Amino acid sequence: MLKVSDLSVTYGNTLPALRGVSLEVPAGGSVALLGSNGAGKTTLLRAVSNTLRRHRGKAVSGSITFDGEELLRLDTAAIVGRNVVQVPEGRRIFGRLTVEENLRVGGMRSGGREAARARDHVYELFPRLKERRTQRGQLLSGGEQQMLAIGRALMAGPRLLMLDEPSLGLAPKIVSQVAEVVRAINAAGTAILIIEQNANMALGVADYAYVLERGQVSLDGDSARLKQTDEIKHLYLGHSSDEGGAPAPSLVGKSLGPWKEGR
Amino acid sequence: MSETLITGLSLGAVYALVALGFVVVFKASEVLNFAHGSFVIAGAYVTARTHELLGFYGAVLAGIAAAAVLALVVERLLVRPIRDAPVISLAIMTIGVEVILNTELIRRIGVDIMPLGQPWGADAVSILGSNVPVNRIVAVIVAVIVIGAFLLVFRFSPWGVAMRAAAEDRETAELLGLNLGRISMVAWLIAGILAGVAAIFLTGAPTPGLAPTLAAVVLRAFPAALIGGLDSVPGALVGGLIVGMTEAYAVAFQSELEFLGRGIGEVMPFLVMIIVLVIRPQGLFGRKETARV
Repeated sequence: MLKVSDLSVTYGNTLPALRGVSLEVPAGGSVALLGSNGAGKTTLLRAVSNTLRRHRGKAVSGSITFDGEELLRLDTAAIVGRNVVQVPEGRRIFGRLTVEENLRVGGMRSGGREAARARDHVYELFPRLKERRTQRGQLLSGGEQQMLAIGRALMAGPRLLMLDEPSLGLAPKIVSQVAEVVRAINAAGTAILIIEQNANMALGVADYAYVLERGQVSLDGDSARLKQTDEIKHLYLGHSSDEGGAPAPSLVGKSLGPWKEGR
Repeated sequence: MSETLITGLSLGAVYALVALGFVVVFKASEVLNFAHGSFVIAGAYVTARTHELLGFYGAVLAGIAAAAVLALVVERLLVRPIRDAPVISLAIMTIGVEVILNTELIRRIGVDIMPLGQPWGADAVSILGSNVPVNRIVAVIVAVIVIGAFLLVFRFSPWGVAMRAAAEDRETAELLGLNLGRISMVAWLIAGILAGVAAIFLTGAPTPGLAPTLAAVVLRAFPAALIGGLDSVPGALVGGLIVGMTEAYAVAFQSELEFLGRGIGEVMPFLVMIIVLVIRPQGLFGRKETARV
């Protein structure tokens, strides 16, 4: 359904952020994209939603297709119109708008009756939001804000829902609730592309995962299998697979040294 | 003294209409539109030119339509193509548009004073023993209705909700499928309509009609927007009232204030603006620019 082929992105014409990235999200599937800070995960979502321009970024080569249609040529609103919707990093709810107004913004592209049905569905999924529907977004807790951000995206009737670090800054208990909700959304037929630093959470949600390192895919495979690899265990899951301070398992293109990427 | 109060209220309500347009455009499109004053003058000009042909109410509609169309044209043709330009470049471009439009409109008005044909003319009624021009009273009533209608749209309509969301976080609004271009276009359209309405009352009694001095009058709506806070709708209303009241009272006490020089009423709004900005740089209701966490 979503197919990213050989995508390269640079910022400010010079700084490469993605280099020849290819990945796929099948219809109804759930895919995780793992990687540390600065690996290019958010850049990939920006490319799919075509908001790179806002950040002085540009897709210099490759393609992103959704059901065969090239997304790089569509503007952001049109991409949402194809039911490819993103929950941005940091939740970004509208703090001065009420919960209900936040949802209304999400459903603005659909008709009145459709939007009302979507809203009922969101309230069913998150009863807490219904209780607080007249409150301003800024008064919600972090977990509630994440629920609202997901609910708001659901209002647009996504066929592909992309989540950028939904676990960021949330308590472990809330993180597992978010994971549960994402699994439920996926089970109801919506394809998921989830970006995480919290590999535990992401691999629990997704069937398949890619690891992004310094703008390139360094590893990919079924979640169950990836969980067993030393690289993932060591880097993201906090297990220590080695004894006596042996060197870290090798990763593609790994080099330790002074920070030199950038300008 | 009730005359000064009503004058202040009425001027304030009309300034609020103008300031509201300025603020709405800024919120929706991040453009400080200094050409906004020209929309008022253009509206007044078209009303004055057409009232004999169309009758007063027809001319008012024509004036409002002209101001709205002018606002749309400026947005589509001049602002939209360079919307990624720095905010300051856009602002200075609108100053250029203002200068060009005003020069042409003032040339057309010439040395005449053009009546707009308000049916209430220079009539006055007696309220609590003082004579108040009917124009002032109509201005207050119409402004309150128009502002009330605007607030309803702003609060409840799809455009209002979308516009407030976009004003808060443009990128996220776009990620939810909102069309920022359309939101901005509607904002400019509304600003033009508000300018066209304000034009009718800024040129009525006790002013004899449309004269080149209208440009200076309209300029006082900018301090109104700044006093209230550039990104605040309630701020525009309060700022408008403050400017109107200040002007009315400065004129009423002109003789006592003579030591400050003649024409103090005209500079007073700017003095108030400077004082407010020194104390509260973001304006009374404006939000301080904070970095997103």
